[in-house]
Amino acid sequence: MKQPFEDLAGLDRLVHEPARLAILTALSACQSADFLYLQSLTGISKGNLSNHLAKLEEGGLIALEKTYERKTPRTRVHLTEVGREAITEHWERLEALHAEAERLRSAGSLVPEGA
Amino acid sequence: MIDLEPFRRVRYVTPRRKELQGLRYLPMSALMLLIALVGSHPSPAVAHGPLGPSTQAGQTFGIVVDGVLLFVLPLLMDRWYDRVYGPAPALDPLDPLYLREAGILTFLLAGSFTIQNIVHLPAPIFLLSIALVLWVVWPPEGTIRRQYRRLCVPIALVAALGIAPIEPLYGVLRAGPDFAGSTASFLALSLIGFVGGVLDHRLLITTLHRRPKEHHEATI
Repeated sequence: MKQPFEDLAGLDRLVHEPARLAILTALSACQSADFLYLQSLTGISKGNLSNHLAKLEEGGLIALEKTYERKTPRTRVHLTEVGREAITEHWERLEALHAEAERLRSAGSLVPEGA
Repeated sequence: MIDLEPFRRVRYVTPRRKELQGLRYLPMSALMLLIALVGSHPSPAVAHGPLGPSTQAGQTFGIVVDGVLLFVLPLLMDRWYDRVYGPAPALDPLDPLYLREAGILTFLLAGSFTIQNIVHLPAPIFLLSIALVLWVVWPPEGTIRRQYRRLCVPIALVAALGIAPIEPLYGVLRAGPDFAGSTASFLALSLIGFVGGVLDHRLLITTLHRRPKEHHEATI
């Protein structure tokens, strides 16, 4: 029989890292988003955000589009089809895990250590 | 286990950033509140009140200022959000669940206001019924959407002040031949606009307020 939290081990680490999960979650709710907007959502520095975006682009989950707006460089980011599928599946798994945890808690099967 | 709450906020806020710039609606709700207050005092008490004949000029000036703010403030808010948080994300078609909620709410509120204009319930009772409708209709599930249930509180509070009766609000909320049904509707709407605007702005800021951390570990 499959253990309740066995799925945790199968979570995609490229997607699951909190900053990247926030980026992908925001992108899944829109067509594209600005670099600055993603920076404010994740609360990380420009350098780190660039690193995360590079990893996601490398994994084929996002695509970057560099444009100029009144001589100011703008970077817009959008999900690829693969990325959209990955984040949708990831949230389904997280929500299933969350529901399972809630079910076990209400059934009294989850007892904190030392209780 | 990872805390899902910030991600729920991100999911909710991202496609609705424009709608959630709640402070943009404060001039509108303030204007409506003013109209509601003026509309509930058609008697000589206002026309010859403590401020004398100049009161009407002052009210007209207030309405003009509010009208100008109504156009200027949204522009300023847009520019501020774009400067601080970057241009708003390009939207996908709106979430059908959100549209359904908004549709139900609009239908019920419009229905309540129409009924009030026919039946003319005492204002406190009408406001209590609006608070009850909001409480019952608004989905109780979800940590984000649930916040709008708080809109019921100020409406119920004003209704309770009217029932008490506590001056000067009782004067505004009194039932009688001078009290048009539309005044209570305006009052309820302006309260919804005002409090909802503040809640929206708060939600947006608490989701987007985080400052970059220079030493964040980007591992995994």
